[in-house]
Amino acid sequence: MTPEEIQKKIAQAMEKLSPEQQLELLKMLNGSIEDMNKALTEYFADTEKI
Amino acid sequence: MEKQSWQDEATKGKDVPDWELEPMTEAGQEGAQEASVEEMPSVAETRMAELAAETQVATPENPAEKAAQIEAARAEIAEMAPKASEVSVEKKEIEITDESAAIAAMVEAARVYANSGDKAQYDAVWAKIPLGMKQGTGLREKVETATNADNVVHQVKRERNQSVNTFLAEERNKDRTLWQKITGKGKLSPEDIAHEQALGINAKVDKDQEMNNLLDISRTNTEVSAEATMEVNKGIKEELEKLGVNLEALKENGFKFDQEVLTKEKEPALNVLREKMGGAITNIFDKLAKIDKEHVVGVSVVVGLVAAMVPVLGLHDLQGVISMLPDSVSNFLQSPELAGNPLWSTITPGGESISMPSVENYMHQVDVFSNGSDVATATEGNPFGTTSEAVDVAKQVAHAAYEQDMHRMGSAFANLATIPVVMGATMYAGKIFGKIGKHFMGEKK
Repeated sequence: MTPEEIQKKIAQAMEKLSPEQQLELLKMLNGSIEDMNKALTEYFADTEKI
Repeated sequence: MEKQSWQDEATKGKDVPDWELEPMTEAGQEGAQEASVEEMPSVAETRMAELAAETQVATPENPAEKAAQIEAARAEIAEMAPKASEVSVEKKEIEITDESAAIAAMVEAARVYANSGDKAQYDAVWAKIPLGMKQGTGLREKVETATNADNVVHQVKRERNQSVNTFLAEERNKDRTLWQKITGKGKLSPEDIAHEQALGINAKVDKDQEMNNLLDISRTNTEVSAEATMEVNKGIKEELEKLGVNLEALKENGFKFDQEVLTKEKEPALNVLREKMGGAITNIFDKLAKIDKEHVVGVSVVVGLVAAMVPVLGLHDLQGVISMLPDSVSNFLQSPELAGNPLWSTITPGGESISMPSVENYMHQVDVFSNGSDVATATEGNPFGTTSEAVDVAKQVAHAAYEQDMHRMGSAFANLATIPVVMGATMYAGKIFGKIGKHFMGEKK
């Protein structure tokens, strides 16, 4: 399977998403990335004194 | 003496011209002698008759006589008035009857003036009578022809429909049984056919009305659906914009963490960070697994994650760090399903297949999604180098936002715009994971 074929498969999978599902996915992505940033920010705050 | 007395009495108190009082000629006297006194009115009597005639002429018409004549004309018109069965044009014909009566009265008055020889009055009345009425023989028919031209077409249609209905009724009556024909049962009239047709038309109108109502409901539903879609699209656009900011912040935090010198004192904080980062990655992976049953996107996530770890950890410690990842991700990374995926199958220059992420393939896929050559250029010659910088996340988000503006929501392109974002996020996370894993692997050693 070439990358193009994989890309096609991904496209087919994503095409099945309704706008509502995509909105839900984006919210999840934002929530997860915000969690990562928050974790990193807290780490920097905790280790700043060290 | 008798004659003189009659003359005196007749001319008493009146200014009689001299010529009227002149004695008759001899010839006149001879004629007068032959006739009786009653048969030969005097000059005064003649003059009185002329004055009476003049008086009669001076009065245009006797009001009572005129009223009687108009009443007679109205009665004549009333006889020709439309029958009660002609209901559809009842109102209009009443107006026509009034107008016709007025015209008929004028015609009658003109006839009176004509008979009396009063040409001036005759001309005055005659001039007011419409030209068509002057030439008409049947008064009402002429009036109707002049004023009901539009009704002529309807009348023709009515007659034609009546004829058709009569024919249909007769045809249907032929199908009745002998007993029905004898008893008259079930016999149809043209009115019955017309009634059937009216019922059919009513049913059609009802059906059309029902269809219109349905269309209105459908249109309302469509409007509601359109509003909901617009709301969703607005939400997607907002989330994409937020995603760009968050990814940029993650990139900055990742760069800052890359500069960190990890020490034993920081390990508690590192463990907390690893758990939280792992939780976020698991959240993404699990969510994608629910949406994408074939794990097509999920494979990209984990491959991106691990591919980002490789340059930090090196291949030697990769397997150990993978075991530190959350269970769902770790299990998937070691599953046969992933092992058969071309993204997770590196062929060494010696032709050996190694179970590890094919960074080249992965980056090529990123390149395909990124729709640019930056990635290929960045990875060229050093596929383990600048993976996190290779994906221009801001560009992808901006592109996705543009697509939102173009109202292409739901299209494959707009959906695909989120894939590089997912890849970018997992790669930033992968680098952080890689550094944490490397530290702990080093501590174990």
